[in-house]
Amino acid sequence: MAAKALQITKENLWTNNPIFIQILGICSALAVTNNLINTSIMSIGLIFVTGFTNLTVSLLKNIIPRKIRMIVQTLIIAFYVIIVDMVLRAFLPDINRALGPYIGLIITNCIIMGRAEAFAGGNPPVLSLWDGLTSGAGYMGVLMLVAFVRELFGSGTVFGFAVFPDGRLFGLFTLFPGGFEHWIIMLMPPSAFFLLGIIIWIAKTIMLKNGKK
Amino acid sequence: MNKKGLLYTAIITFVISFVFIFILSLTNSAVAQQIEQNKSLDRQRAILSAFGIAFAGNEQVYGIYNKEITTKKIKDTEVYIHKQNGETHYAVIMQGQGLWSTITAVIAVNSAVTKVVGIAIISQNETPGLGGRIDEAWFKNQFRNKPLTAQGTITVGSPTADTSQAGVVDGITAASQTSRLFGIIVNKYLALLHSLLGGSNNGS
Repeated sequence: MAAKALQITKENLWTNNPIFIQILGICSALAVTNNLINTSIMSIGLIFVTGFTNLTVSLLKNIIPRKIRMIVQTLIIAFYVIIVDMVLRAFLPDINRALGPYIGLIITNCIIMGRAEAFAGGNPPVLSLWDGLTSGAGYMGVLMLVAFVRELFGSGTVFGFAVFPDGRLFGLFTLFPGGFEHWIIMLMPPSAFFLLGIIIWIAKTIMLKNGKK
Repeated sequence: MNKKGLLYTAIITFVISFVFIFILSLTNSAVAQQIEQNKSLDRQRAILSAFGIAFAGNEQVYGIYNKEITTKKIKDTEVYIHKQNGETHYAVIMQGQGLWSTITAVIAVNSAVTKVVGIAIISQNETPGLGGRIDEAWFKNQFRNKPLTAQGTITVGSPTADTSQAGVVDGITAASQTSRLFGIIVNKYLALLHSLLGGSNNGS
């Protein structure tokens, strides 16, 4: 099982990454990635929901009739998302404020249902949980990369810390005479589209090279 | 029982829905009180921020709020009042349509309604990172002690006038709709405050 778990990890983080190979969960990848803090909280929420949805779907897979399995999966996903929302509202209200509508939108993330349908429906519970958690981690990795570039060039900050105060890198030496000009395109969803395209291009190129050896 | 049969499917659907929704209701009733408290804390914190009253940490909010703020109903509108250094400032809760949903905020003004003392956001669901930036300090700080135009209005994001002029603040780049709608809300409540406090100007 350890070997299987290792293989799942490798697939979900790299060779079968939900974002750049399966092209799932792209909607939120375009929307939330102009800011690293929002991206990380959103990703952590998604990791939790994907993991536990997979676990629950796997536990229930033998008693659910096939024809209603999708509606049950949707119910389970919504259940966990509402739990996350309520817990954040009650105990971490500031994070809840920062994330606003995105918590509810985790429900519509294709990765969760994709993994529940493709993996949890035919695998044991613990492996399914692991598959869900690593799928979420694969999603998080790519999104953090996109968000890093977007926040850096769009707002000139990383996790809210100014990188180019007065046009100087970390305030040390002048990098942008006349101050750092924000790249407005980086704040808008299309930039995530271009960045994701570039990431898919790079990842596929590396994979093809490795394949030839 | 036949697992493909209608009866089995119906029973399973019912049982699963029941179990999950039951757990949700339990969780909800367990945290409902905490959520209510957070909401009222949010409101008080926003009112203090709008008046520019400093507080360190959430624990202090309740005490300072009760000491500093009085409320009064003027023509069916709840007005929050704060007296400081001989000046009286007034605040109301604003509510209006943003780009995606309702924005709830607080605006505080001086007694003659010639300047904004401050604003604070209670809740909003604008696009995070774009319109959602109305809740960022740089945006809200623009309103701190901002004189109004002669007409008693504020423009949020003007293509021509610059922000050193009275009644002009920067909008949010890439969120012109939220900026415009927020401006409409602010001006609507400035007009309301003017009608509530105007004329007598002494805040009696």
